[in-house]
Amino acid sequence: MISGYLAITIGFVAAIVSMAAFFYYAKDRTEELYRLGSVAFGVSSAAIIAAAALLMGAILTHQFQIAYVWQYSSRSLGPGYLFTTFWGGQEGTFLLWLFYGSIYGFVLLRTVGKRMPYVLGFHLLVQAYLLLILLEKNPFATIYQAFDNVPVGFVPSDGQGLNPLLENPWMRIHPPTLFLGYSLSMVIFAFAMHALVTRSFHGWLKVVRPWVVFFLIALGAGIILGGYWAYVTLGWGGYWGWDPVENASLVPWLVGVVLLHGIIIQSRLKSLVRLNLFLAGFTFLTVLWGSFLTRSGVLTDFSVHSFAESGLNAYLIGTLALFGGLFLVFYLKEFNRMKAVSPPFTDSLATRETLIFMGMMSVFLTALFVLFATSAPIYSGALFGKPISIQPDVYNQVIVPVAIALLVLIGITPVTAWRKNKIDWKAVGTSALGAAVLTGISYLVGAHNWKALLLIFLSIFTIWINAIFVYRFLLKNYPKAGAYLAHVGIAFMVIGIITSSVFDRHEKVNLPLGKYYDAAFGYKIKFEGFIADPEGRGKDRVKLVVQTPREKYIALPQFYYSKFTKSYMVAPDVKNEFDKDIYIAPISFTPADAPNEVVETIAKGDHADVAGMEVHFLDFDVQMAPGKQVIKANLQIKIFEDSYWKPLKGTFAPTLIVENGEMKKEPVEIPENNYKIYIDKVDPNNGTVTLRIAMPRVAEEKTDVLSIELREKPLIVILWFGSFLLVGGLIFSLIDRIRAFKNPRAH
Amino acid sequence: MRLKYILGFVIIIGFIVFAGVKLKSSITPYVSLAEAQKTNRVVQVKGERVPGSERYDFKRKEFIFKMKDKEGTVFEVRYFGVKPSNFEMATEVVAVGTYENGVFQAQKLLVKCPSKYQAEQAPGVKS
Repeated sequence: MISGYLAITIGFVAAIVSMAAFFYYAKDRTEELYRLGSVAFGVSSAAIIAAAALLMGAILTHQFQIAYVWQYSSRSLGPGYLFTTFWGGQEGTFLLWLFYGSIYGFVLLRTVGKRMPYVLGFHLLVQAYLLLILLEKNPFATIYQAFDNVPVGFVPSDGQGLNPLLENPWMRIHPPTLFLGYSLSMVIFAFAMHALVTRSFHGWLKVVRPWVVFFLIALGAGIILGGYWAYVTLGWGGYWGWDPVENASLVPWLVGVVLLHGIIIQSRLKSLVRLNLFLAGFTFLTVLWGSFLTRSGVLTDFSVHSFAESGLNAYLIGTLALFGGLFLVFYLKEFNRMKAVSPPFTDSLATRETLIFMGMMSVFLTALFVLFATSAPIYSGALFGKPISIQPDVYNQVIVPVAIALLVLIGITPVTAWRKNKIDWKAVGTSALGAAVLTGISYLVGAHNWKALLLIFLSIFTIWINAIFVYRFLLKNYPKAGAYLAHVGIAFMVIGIITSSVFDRHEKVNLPLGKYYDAAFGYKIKFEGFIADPEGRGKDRVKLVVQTPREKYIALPQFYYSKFTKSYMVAPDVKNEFDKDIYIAPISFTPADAPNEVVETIAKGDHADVAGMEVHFLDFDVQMAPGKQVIKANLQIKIFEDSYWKPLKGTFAPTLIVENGEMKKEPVEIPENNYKIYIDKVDPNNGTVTLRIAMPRVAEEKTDVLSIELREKPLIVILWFGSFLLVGGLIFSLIDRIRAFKNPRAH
Repeated sequence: MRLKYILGFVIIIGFIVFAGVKLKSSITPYVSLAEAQKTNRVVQVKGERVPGSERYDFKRKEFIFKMKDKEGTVFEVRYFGVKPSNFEMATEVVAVGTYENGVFQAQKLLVKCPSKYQAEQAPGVKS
């Protein structure tokens, strides 16, 4: 599509013109330059919006000759999911980023265009660079441009469709929210560059602060939505797996959190100038790092859901090197000047700034650790010649001491004072006492894990103190309650994570069709068969009647074959109760007539692992009679039981009788597992035997069997509640910061 | 002032050492089955799945299949978990786990699929 490519080209040229105009305007303050910059910016934004509209239009009108549309959409998608196709692939996400960037540009122009033209200049530099990537990786390329073997002018009748995992209501808002956050990091970067170039190391704080808060809101909400999507879609029972793609979104968020707190300290005390500027640049660089990690294909062997290789590696590394280098050059140049305007903290140990600083360091070290560990596959290949990766459990182990430290700090900080060694120990004492009583109750209720109890105690302590401040400010000046509310949210999230993971119970169950089966935890479940997708989209469901100790309900987890992924797809049924979620995910389905057999060919004297047994084929035993042949295969067998290979006594000899040209198979039965072993055929030339092993199914019943995983996730609602408070608190802070920006006297 | 710096320094170094030790013990190298058999640690074995070898062991509630590593060794993998959604179309399987008592017990299965997010084939001209 020529018009789309043209729009991107115009957008690129105009962005370059606008950038240059704003850079010149910053030096030579002539009104014409400012006007030129603004107009060129307007043209660039209009072109970006036009390109986005053209792509969206092509998707909605099924222009399958465009490779992007063909790859990610199909006629059967409803309008809601056709929209999500827009960010189904990489080109679309870049366009989405540019679209957001244009909107931020307008806000920047209105607010700081004249005062801080460098901000716009650097903002446009990033925009221009992204447009350059799109010129290279054109979202409007036709399929005959993208694939060599397709004749020019060919229009496919239908597209490939969307991955059914993405065909989920949460996927309509998770990626755009996440990218809203990612793209905001470039505004933070632009402000940092402005501060370095103009050497106004304090002046940028008040303006950048609402942007940082907005960044944390968008990225935080995006991460939480992604976790919720994983929980209700993927079926493994969790919401966070420390997957590289997840980590790539978490690291910038953590760095942003550190930056926000650094800005708060600097606004008060003028300290931490160098750290804050570093963090502002670093936030953007970690977003670029995340893009590289997830888009370049370096992690396809390691991640469950990263993009496949895209041929953009050079560009992505180039981006990292260009912006990283640019930032470092200015940063190092100004290093001593920054130090001169950054007074150190007072000597006291228990001041508010010291406690906040300690919290910042805890979060920052965590971010660096996640960054370092997630990147392991990249640098280990270069260092050790062989890529390695990290078991995700290490993150859980490392995060525990950090969480303990953070909860103590967040709990105490509200009752400390700036610059003074003053802690309100009375408030600390009462909150600790209250938390101890509540923790005692949770011990009595059944939480008997000391690590969990410690974290629960500290969380309640933190909530207690911060909630007092939330209450005070809500009545007086509600936006000021934001910080405390966000901290209450964090502590609630910790409690929810602890209860739903440490006290999670799960059991695998095989359900025969049509009758109640004693599953686990006192549940009885009846598998009633399959029901067709009520929406007619082929996402068939399994109908289960679940009788819990408390009530009876119908669970309808999805279980269907997807043509897109060419495999069976599963989505759990999640029942929310006030004290827990009941989470049911199908694992496998075995119809009554399905042979539960495996076939294995073994050479004489050799052995094979088959069906959980180690089968050693010793030799044949052949008896010949006129018109009759009796072949026995002598086998020695070990079975895998209770984690070791147990040799079975004696030899087993399945028999094949050939009489008058007819074959008769006489199996042997293994008493330990009721498996029957048949000789399927023999090959005298090679000396091999082909064995068929028939395995009995559940309780030897000839019915369909559905295997499921049944889970209880206690109090997981606290996690979602906490994340709600966290985002809500940040939104309050955003309102507070916008007010402060508009009113120069406000703090 | 001094005390504060020393304290902070000690805590940070402590954290780095702690995290480093944990990290070192969680490294999972890519190995062949022959190498996996020699060690007790968690490793990753990359290979192809053997088509048609999948089964579900009702008694042990395990998903079992065979895979062939890069050296051509065929072995059985047992996995106590939900079968990955894209398993049937996997071109490559990575089994993360340990080789113990003669069995590869997977803790995690990663499947590499040709068209998970990016379509790989050209559109069939006939379609």
